[in-house]
Amino acid sequence: MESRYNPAKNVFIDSIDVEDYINLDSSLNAYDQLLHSIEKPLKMILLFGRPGTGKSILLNHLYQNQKEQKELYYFETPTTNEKEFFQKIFKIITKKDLPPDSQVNFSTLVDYCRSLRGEREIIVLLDEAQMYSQEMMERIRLLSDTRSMKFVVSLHKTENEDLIAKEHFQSRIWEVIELTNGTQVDIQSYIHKKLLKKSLFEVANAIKGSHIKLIHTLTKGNYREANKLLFTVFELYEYYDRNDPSKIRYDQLSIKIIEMAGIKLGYIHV
Amino acid sequence: MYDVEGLEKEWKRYKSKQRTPWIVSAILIILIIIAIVFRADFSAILSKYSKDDNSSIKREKIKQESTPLKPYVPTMAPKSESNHTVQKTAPLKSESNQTVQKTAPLKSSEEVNQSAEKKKVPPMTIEVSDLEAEPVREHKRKYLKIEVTDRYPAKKKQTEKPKKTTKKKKKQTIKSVEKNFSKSRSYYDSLYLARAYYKKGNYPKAQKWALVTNDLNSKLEESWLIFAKSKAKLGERREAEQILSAYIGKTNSTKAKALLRKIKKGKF
Repeated sequence: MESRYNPAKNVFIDSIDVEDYINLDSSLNAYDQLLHSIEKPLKMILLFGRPGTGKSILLNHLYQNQKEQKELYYFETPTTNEKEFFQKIFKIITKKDLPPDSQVNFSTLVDYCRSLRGEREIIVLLDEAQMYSQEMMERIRLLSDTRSMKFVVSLHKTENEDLIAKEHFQSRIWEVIELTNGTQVDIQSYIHKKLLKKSLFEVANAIKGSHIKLIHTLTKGNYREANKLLFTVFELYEYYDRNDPSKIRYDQLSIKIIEMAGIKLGYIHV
Repeated sequence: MYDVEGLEKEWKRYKSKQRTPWIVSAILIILIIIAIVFRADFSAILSKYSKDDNSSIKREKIKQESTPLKPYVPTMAPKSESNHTVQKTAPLKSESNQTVQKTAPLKSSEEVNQSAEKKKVPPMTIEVSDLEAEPVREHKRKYLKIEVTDRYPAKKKQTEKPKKTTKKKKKQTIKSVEKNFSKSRSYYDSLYLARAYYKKGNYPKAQKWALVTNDLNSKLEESWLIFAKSKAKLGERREAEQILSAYIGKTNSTKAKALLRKIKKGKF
């Protein structure tokens, strides 16, 4: 028999599926900003933030919402191979596959893009752009200079990468959108909305303010970490529900189990 | 699946670690509070011990240095030369000389035992206590120190005595006021006696003298109050209440009202 906590656990499996996208005040704001930026005649837009702040899901959400209205392409997985990357670009522009055993001549590609100026506006969403080499980024910049192609570059913000990003994009980026970790209120509405989306009302009601406070402290407001923590919490609940139900209460989440999950994930060091 | 039991153990360790600083700080706070509350007692105990320590050290010194009595006598002489101190120190000098004479033969004989030396200490202290009364002899520090320590029990005696004397004095004054009243028939005297007996806890007499005062001057509020208080103290609360309510009816006195309230509540 399936435990009552199994569906709750599955809610928090980390994904960038648009169906799992949660509209929060902060994410709505970032989305509006992004939408407004791609309307402008900007060449490159940088979506910036620490891992787990919702960059990928935001890009995906934008793609799913705007792909019918705009010529939008989403590169979810970064292509480290230059040849492969430009083959993809070629296919986007010409809408044809490159003949086998042939290579894209970059200067011809740039010339072709220039000829498309005013006719088409191709928007490419590049996720995990920190994976691209500096040379490739330079070529992407040259393509964006043709004004027929726009790039939305999503980039992780770690201390080192922050510097690289600043140096690399300083002269090329026209718009920077930064995503930050959620506040306590953000985390609360994120968790509750996620559970309510799957009609898990009882579980959502069992998560009170003190639990949110603890979850926020442990995860520092990071959505991915919050997903991980709650997944572990409900996995532990599932265990107790099957093996020792006297140890859990169904109407209220246990601080002890949250802390146990925190220990398990290394947020708490014993 | 995780090792949930192991995780539970880790959680227990984490909780105990988390609680220890709170427990330690709570204990510290309690200790600080205790120290603050009993500060006076601690200081008293400390001072007592420090005094005891000083006295033991000083006693040892006295035992070791039994000779300082000799230089003591000659130092008295030049001081007596001053005009003011001559008259005051004159009797003391004679006393000190006497003690020196007493102790001198003991020191001259080499067969003096330790027990004999111990016996020598009390006369020294008597002598020094006399000296201490004189502010002129400040330079005799050793003797002053001895006096301070040995005086400690003596001080108690001195403090106890005045209590007895004041009690005696009070008795005497009450008697004399009573005698005086038979002649003067003054309500000042009778009121004084009512007050005095009430303070002493002799409520029947306090009641009697309050009545006498009231006969002489019925307007004196204090006589009414002492009378009612004495009644209440003797367990006659209803009467006390009646007296007070009668007096309140006449004068509307706030003091009487307050007293009546106290008696009614049983707080008196």
